[in-house]
Amino acid sequence: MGLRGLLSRLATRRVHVLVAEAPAAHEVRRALEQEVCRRGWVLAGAAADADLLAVVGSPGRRLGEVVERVWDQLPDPRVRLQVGHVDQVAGALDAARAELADTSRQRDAARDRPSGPQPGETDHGEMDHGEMDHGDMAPSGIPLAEGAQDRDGLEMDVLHLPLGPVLRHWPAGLVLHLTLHGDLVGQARVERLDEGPRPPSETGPDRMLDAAASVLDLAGRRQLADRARELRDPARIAAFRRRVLADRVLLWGLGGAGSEVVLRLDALLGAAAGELDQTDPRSGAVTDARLAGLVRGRDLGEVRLLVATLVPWLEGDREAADA
Amino acid sequence: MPDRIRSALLVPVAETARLLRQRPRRTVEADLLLWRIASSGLLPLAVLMLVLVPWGDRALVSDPVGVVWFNALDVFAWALVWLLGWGANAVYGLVGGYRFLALALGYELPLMFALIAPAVAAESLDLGVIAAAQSGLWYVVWMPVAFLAYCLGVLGMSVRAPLDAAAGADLAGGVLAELSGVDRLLVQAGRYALLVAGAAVAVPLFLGGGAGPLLPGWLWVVLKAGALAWALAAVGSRLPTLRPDRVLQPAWVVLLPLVLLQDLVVAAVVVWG
Repeated sequence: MGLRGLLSRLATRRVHVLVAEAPAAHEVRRALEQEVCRRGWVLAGAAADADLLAVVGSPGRRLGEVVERVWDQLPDPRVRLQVGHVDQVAGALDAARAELADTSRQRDAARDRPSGPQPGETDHGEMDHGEMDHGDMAPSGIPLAEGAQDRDGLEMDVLHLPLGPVLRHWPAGLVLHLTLHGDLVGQARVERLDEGPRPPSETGPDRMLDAAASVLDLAGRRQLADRARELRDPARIAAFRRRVLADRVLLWGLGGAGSEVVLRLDALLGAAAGELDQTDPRSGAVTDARLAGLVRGRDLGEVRLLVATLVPWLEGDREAADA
Repeated sequence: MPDRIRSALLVPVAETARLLRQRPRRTVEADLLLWRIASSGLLPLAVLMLVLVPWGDRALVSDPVGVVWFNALDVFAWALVWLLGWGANAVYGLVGGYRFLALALGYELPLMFALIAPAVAAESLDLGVIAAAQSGLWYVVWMPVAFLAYCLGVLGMSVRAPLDAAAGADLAGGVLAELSGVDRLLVQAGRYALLVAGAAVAVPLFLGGGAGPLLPGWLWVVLKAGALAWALAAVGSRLPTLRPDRVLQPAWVVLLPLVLLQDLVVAAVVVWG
């Protein structure tokens, strides 16, 4: 094996995987994430950090378009795969790694690809600048940011950021169109891609723990998040809940003991442990309109945390949620 | 178990190979010049800090105002991390840059006043003289607050937990979000190098320099710096990412007065001690 072979073998030891999740595929997504972690691979947070785009479930037309755009943003060498069933996960990852390590094939694919981003056609990140204005003040078709007053009356540039749908710890198929002043949310609009019948909200312990682990991940506590995902026994979950609520630094970082995020994190763990009263207002679902109201005026980090606590309900059926 | 250790040791090698094999990608209308300056600047910054450290009794660059040099260099991290976020011309990077500046406001003033304590005690700004002045008692023993503020500053300038909100998971990587290939490699290496450089400068400032039994001085410097860098990373990984809006108040209302008090105590000891 030559030097090039050694390099490609080393380079594909820790594949970075970006997951694009279609609605109603969270079981496959969880299986994929588990398999990725078991192999010592990495779940990427952004397209620039990914070698592999894993499409989970079957995306509809709109999500499909977004997946294509994200695919355009992966650096070479890159691979994509699609899995629709838990059993296919391991095999698909093996095949993807082999394809990634195939240097000559990757080089051919990269040669046919334009080296820079295509102005007008690509958005940066998952950014979308709303109405494209091809005026003089619009380099590459992107209008310059305009100013407006934020909630404190400060004049700030306004940025438009759609959060989702290809984003970690985020409800599948949901896009939150935000206008940002700095990192403060001004306006918010909720969009559902490929709106179709959704399953009723699942509130089993697994879903709750997965959401709680997402919150811990976003808060920078990876080890604690991994432990949350491994919990099964209700008594151990209850002990874990008490431990999390006793972690003063964590709670302070999440916004303080009485904050919305901490209350909802507590509710997730309580529901997983079977300790939560059915009538607890926090276990009730959140409509899209309510979500838009909830995120207004908060900063971007808080929005991410808050949405992560709501994933089980936001992915479920809205009619059931309203009731 | 040996297999696990082997794969853990291979992680940096594998990541390096991966990033070297990756073609860097660009964003629309990226400010390439500033972005490249930022991504390639962190590593030289750390090297410039390391040359100030006295290895045993001699530094590569022995400077009568080494402490001031270090301070000037660590302020450069502000510019570089901000430009890293700005250059990509994308929202996550920009917000990451904002966050870094807000955090830097929180950690930089306590760090500056923390640097004053050993300098006052040794009556010198020369890192070599400061190290030699600790022959009786290491400064960390009677300047714990200054040491703490210094360590916090090192974590801040190397964008590490708990002060890593600028590169947070909630921003999809923040200032790192759009980096790929060799640019990303340089930035990640630069962050580790800044952590190590910060720990190495702490050795003459607080940890007695090359003083230690049996082993030669330079080896003690390496051992102390390595241990401190490891400890900082270990403590950081057990703490949550602190949001800038939560950090600023305790940093200025609690930590800054405490560090000033520390300076006052040190000055009093030097004058009347």
